[in-house]
Amino acid sequence: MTAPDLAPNALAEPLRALSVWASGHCGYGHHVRTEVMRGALSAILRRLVYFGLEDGFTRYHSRELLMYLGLATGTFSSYLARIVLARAIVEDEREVIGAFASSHAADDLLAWFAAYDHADAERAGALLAGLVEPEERATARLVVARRQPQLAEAQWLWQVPAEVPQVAIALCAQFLTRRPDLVHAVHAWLIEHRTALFCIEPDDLLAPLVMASAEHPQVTLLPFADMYGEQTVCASAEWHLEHHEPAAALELAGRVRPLSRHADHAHVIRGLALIALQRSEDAVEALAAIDDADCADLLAVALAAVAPARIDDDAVAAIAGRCRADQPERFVACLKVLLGRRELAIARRLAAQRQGDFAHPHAQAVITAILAPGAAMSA
Amino acid sequence: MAQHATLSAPLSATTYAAQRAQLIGTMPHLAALLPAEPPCAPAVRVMERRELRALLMPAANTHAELVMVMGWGDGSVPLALLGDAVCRQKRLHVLLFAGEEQAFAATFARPVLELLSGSQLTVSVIEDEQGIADMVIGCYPHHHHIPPLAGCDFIDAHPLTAPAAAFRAQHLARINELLADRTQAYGNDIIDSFTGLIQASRNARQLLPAPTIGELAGRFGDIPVISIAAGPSVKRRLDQLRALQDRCILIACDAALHGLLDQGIDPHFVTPLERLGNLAMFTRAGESRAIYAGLPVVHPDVVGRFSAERTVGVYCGDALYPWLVPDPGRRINAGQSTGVLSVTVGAALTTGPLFLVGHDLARGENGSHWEGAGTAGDAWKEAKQRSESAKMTGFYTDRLIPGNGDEAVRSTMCWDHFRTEIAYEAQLLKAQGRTVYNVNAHDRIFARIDHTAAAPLPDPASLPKLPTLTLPAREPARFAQWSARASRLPEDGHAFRRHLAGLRADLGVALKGVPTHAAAAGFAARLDLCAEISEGNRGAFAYFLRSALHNSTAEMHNRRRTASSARSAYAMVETMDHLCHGLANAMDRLQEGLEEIARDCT
Repeated sequence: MTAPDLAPNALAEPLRALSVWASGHCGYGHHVRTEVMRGALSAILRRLVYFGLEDGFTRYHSRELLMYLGLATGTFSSYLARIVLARAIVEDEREVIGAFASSHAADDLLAWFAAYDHADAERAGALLAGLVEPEERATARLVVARRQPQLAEAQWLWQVPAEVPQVAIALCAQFLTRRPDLVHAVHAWLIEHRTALFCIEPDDLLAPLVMASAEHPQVTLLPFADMYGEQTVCASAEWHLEHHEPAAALELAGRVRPLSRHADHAHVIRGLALIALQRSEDAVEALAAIDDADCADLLAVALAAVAPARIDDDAVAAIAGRCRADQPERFVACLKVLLGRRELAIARRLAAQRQGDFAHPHAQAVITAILAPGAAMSA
Repeated sequence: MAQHATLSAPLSATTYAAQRAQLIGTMPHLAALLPAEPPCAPAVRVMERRELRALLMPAANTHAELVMVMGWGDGSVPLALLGDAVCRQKRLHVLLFAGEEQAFAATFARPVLELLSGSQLTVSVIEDEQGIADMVIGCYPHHHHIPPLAGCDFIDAHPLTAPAAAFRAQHLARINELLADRTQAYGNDIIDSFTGLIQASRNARQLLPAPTIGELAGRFGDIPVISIAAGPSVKRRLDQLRALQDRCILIACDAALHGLLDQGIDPHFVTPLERLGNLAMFTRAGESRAIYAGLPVVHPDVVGRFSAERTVGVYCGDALYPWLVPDPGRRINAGQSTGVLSVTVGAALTTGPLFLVGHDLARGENGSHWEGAGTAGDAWKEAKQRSESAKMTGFYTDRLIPGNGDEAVRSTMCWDHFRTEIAYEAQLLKAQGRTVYNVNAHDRIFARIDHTAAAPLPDPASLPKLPTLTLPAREPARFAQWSARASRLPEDGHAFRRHLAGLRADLGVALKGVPTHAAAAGFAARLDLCAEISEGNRGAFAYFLRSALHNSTAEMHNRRRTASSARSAYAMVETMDHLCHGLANAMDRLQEGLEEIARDCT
């Protein structure tokens, strides 16, 4: 049986379209050919659906937008909306899914999702038993695995069609985090199916998987040797860094080319690894190689904590002044560096200037403590 | 992380000499730029690392095949590109501009040569505007060279020496324009698709026994040749042409034939090229002495207007022509217009001077064509209004191009392209010591055609009267030899379809996995041709295979603009899958035609 009030295989068409879209040959003509255009279309649609038109108009060139809006009319608009929703279901993007509830752009698909998402174990099992269309079945299993992981079986992974690697990767991530007993299945599947991973946007799919699988020593990614994209290498290096293996992180980050678009990210990892290895002089070189200001600030704060002579108080204060609202940890790190240098006055000035900018409770607590009348260097 | 090599280290005379010899060994045309001793480097602003990286990152983060660097500068751009593992796998084409010869000699750079694998770097020297067209044609001559332009990265914002920077600023738009135009110059086989194969086969009985242009070469000594196109300026030459028609060899483009006959001018040769069965312009071919010297791929209804004794075999460079006649003695550049063909045919007929009349390639005050070539004018208007595909490629886009006077003249993209083709032919002739004279240049009107000289038409009184032009005897054996090959076309067609089916199955399996670049290269080799096709017909199949390649390879190069090597290989294999699909469909339609050809040639 299928989900109630829903035509059979409702998800099949958008999923196939999604896989075709991701693999680079759109079925709807030559207008959407290049990667740039496809990416822009994806982003625009997402923003149009999620944020509304106004944001789309300010963010994109009017000519581009006109072209895409011209394309996205009538049934085409509905078709693309269904693709966006299918993608959100696979990626478990709840906010995007929620936006569809009010738009009524793909109500049948939304109902399908709700049926599986809200089903208890018994009901979910019954619904899954009635599915025969491979793409729909795989996606339904993914939705169920998120709510009822105990129902999952290794064969769920093996039965995902090659055309929807996004579903397989999401299932892998679920197994790795929620079902340690199925980790071996992930390993075996990865070795057998590197395929879909690399054929379609390999970096975007693999980078988070590397992070997840690295927690499980039995899952090695050796079969993918020399096929990593640089984004994946960076993700892997970052994992080693976070797990106190700076030498491995340094080695991996060193593989990224200076002209790579991920080079700045690699430089940050390299710098942090060098600091962890107590080679702060070398970390200064890594800092000098970074072009992106945000990446440079990240490393500079870490360097300031260990090499005060390299990053002076004014530089730290400037970084603190630049921290965005979504970077409370960096702001707090700056304050800590300044307090460590006994620069309470500067820290107070910064805390006063930005006390309303950060919602994070820890950042607010630090700011409050620094601004307290009795705060002294012992704080 | 690997760091960029630098050019700051001074170069010892010994190292300079060794690497100069190495560079000249791979690119001999650079010898004149490299003095025996290393010169001092002129001032070029050195880019900061950050600036250099920002400039090169777009090229370094895709798998597109080609990077074009507009200017040598201090050599740091090619050096950095060749120092990058991804860029080193690409083809790097550096344009060396006038004014940076010394900078190149001083910094052509040891590290570049150390990194250089040999064939990946091309350096073209561009000294003037003519050099731009020469570079475009010389470096991107044919099918295999042109498609990568679709995914090419351009690096054109780096510092150069002051004169080179000025040169680049002045000519960059023109370079980009001609490179973009190049995608319209794949050759005839792309234009023909299957039509060329079918029509050439239907014309075979009439055209293959005809004397070839190679057999005619030199037969008419050094008689001056006048190539007559259909531009508005023809009107002002009519009296001279009438007086010269028995003292020079007159070769008319197709549309000019009727107008010339109306004016009492009877050309010796006419050069049809279009594939459509437009009979209007040849209905009076029987009144003329004109000999058919057009392409074999022209519609049989047009060729049939000329008696077999008044035909000449014109064979070009595309794969179809060796299949028709393996050794015609000489092949010519067909060009993409009947006007260009009249130039190349004329150049092949005699060793004398070649005069261009009516090759205006720009609008006149009263229209695009001479009224005597009304068919061409009408066709032009119709095409401009209706031809969607031509509009999409910009073929009729208006364009200002250099004129024979002091000012630019109004032209179009396609006329500009024809202009480049004629200039290329003129350049080849100039290298042989011959001269192409553009009569318009003498009058300082209409478009300039590079490598031609300005001169009026010759004085009839200074030339002897021509004897009657006769052709060598026909060679029926050529048709018989071709028939033996063509009779096997149907069975080869079936073999090719089986081959495509097998290939598609393998491609399908590959697309389920992770295709590597090596796998893609293997498929490409298999796709090129099929061993089961009889040897004599491989050229014919290669010919229509190219037509399918036209769009798909350009698209593939565009799609390879991705940072993912796996995705790049996938795009290549998938493109081949699409190509196989298209070819299989085409073969379904073509098979009946192949059967008909086989029946007719027995």
